[in-house]
Amino acid sequence: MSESSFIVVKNLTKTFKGQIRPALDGLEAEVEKGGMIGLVGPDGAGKTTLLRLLIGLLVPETGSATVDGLDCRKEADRIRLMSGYMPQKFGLYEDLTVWENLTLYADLRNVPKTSRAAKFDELLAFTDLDRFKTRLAGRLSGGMKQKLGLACVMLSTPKLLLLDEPSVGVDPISRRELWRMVTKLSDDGLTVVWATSYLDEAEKCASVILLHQGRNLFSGPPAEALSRVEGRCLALGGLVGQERRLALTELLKEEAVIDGLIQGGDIKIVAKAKGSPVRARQGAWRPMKPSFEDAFIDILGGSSMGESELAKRMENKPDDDAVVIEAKNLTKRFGDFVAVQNNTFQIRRGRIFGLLGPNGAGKSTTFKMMCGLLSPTSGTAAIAGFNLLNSPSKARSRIGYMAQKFSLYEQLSVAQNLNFFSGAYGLHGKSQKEQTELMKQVFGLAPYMNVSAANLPLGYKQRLALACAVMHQPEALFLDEPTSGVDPLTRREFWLHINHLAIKGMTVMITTHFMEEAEYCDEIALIYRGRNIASGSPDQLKAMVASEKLKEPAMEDAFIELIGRADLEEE
Amino acid sequence: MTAFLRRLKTLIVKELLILLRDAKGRSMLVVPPLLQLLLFAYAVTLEVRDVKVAILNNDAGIHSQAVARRIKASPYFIVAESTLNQSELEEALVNQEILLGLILPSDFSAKAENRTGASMQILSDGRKSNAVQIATAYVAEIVSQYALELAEADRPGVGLGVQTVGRHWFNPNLTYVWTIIPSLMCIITLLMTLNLSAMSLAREKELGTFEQLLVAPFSPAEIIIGKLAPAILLASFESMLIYGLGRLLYGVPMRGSFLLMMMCVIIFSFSIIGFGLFVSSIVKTQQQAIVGAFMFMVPSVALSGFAAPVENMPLWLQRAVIMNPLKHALIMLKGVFLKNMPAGEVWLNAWPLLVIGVLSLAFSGWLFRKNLG
Repeated sequence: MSESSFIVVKNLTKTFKGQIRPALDGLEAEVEKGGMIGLVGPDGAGKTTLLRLLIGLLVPETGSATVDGLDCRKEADRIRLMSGYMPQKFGLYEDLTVWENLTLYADLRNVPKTSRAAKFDELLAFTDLDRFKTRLAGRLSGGMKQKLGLACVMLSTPKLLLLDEPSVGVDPISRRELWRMVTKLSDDGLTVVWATSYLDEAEKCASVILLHQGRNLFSGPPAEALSRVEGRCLALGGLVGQERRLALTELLKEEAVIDGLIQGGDIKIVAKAKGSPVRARQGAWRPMKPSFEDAFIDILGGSSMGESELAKRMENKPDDDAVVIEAKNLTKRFGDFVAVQNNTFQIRRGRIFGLLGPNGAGKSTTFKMMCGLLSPTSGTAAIAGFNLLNSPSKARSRIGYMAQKFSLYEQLSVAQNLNFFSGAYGLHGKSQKEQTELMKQVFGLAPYMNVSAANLPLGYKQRLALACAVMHQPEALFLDEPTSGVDPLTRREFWLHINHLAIKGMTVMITTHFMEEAEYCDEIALIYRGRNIASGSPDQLKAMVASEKLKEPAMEDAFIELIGRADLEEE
Repeated sequence: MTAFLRRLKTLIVKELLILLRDAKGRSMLVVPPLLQLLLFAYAVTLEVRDVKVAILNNDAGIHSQAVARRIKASPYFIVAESTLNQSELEEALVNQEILLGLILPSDFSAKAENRTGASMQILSDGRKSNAVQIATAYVAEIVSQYALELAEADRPGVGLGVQTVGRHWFNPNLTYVWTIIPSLMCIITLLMTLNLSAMSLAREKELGTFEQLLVAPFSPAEIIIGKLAPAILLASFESMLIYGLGRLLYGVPMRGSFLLMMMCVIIFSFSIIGFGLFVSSIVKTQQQAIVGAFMFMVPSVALSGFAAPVENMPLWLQRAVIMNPLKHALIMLKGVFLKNMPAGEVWLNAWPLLVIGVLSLAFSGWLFRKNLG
């Protein structure tokens, strides 16, 4: 143990009842004092468990952890006094105002009455909430709630700040602001542990602990991880539509490629070794800046998995370029509030269409109307020519739907879920058996067939959900943030399937917060305040915001800029 | 099999699996009815038995002693052994150690002997009005019987000239369990079906599986029948369980037709499920569903005739409780069970249930669609 280590974790293990894998599996980690530490990993990696163990909300089975020399088993109350912990859902009282929430937490934290007013003003100014002092916390947006939570935690001037996924459910604009605030705190000498499943946030931390399945895969400055893949990331541009997916398929079959993904009109790959030649596709390969995700994949040993077994066994849809999903003047009003206004779009067979937008912009409402969960106030939504209102059963039987939150029957086993959902879509007898068997093989569900869905590891829950959505070979597949929180390998696997299903002619509509997912789409509609403010391919959207200052804007830049412009127009 | 039936089967199998797959779910089906059966049959009875009584006998004569002896011998009373004085007796009453205090004045035997109107005082605990009324009536009966015998001794034939001989039809010994078994069948069915319809749909909403049902090609009718059928199935199973236990453990006789009884259970379940689905279509979480179901449960039990007879209610309320499914179910099941109620009579109570069921199902089906919009 080095002298300066602030947090020391040794051989920490914690298993939860009913879970197949331990949440933490002999974890070793050290954190220096001061600065921003990224606790990075997919959902279920053990981030929350580690944070809760550190401040004594959980007790480890084996191993030890100390914070500033204090033992987290015996001296948890002293650790809690010196640290601020912001759980994923911070306990704001929604029926109290911003000011009342602060007062309440000041009381709980024994902040002396005399210094309160000054402290409140300072924190409200810092979090940019001073305009909203008298607003009820329940009426704040997701981003503002997180800022208020941060302010409440900062009341007692802690030495250590533990933030559990503060950027979840927060749109990219608020995410940047929140990040700026916390960085400022860490610059002032506070030790901040920022847990996140967004790997792009890791790159910006002073140092990173990369968790995967309860183990420490990497710790140190992010640059050290990036250096592993330095010079191995290449991109090939100028591809459109289906061509991109076919090219990626070829590339992933190649020995020398360990990872590949679609970024708009680009295909980005990670080569096995520096300078190893790419044979499958000749062209103007250009070097790319590696990302933390590339490094993560490299640490995990690469993602290459060739072809989707799932798509291979699916029937080809006719190659007719027909319109499969169609919205005509789609409008939805809730009372006076117009959630979606006059939205029109067509999605042709085999395309991947993305709905993007901040929270509350109307993208979920649009999505729900398209798959028949909401009926439009006016306008029509049709699947393969069948209106969802007039012939709901015909339209619905052509839809596959995967919700954002895991929403299969948790009480039922994997096999029972597969049976139910195949039966729901009219499969029976031999075809039902065949499809169930296929899903079992393709998604590696065999060892889990009799396990309750509730007890599956997260990645397998997602796989099962996808399996249930595609078993009946739908014309249109609706995916609501399909890969939020899963590890990059599982995300690659998902997109492998989705890409190949599209090649086979399945039409896909997704909503997403992840810019990375948006890059896979053929077309994106950016929804803001109920209107479709911009649409086009990812590259077209990026081109809309390119300027002298920002020559190669990323998807997130385009998102923020286009929304900013819409706000300006409004004013 | 048509596509419709296949989809229905899929829904029903799913529902049953969710309920029966784990041991906890299975025990939830068997333990509560067993527990209620035991509790109601042994502990929670409306009968007045073993009433604690103290007798303050200020008289040493034969008549007062005879009356006291008879009260002691009655199976309804437990008479305090120790003799008390007036203030001790009052204190015992205040402390709820006794329900009744009987005070025989010093001239009781003398007056009785001279036939000049002997009287005794009964002090009772009015806080338990119902039990007191019944117990007081028991005492009065014992005393008047004694008076009759005295009159008979004076002039044979006169005293016993007029008397009543009671005979309880359908339940000769007024055994409480006999009436509780059919009532319990109704109440367990109510619980079961409300739970399955209100709670299980709310659970699906909370966990997001409801959306999965809605995007699948199920029609609202299929979803509703998919909830209805398993609930009716399980309610029938529970009723048979109670029926079996009632007959085996308590020897309750079954006077009517078993088939008719099961028909009643099914019609009753049907009427409740409409309400359960109505609750579930206006709530978002299971917690809200519990509150909603509870709001229905309490008045429907209180106004059913289970504990307080419907005939004692004000007229407007008697008319209003025609909307209470439990009231009709109690009449039908008690009727079929204990007195072989003919099918025609059963029908009089069955059709309101069918109307309630059809209306509430139609209403919740309409809400169903409206929520989608």
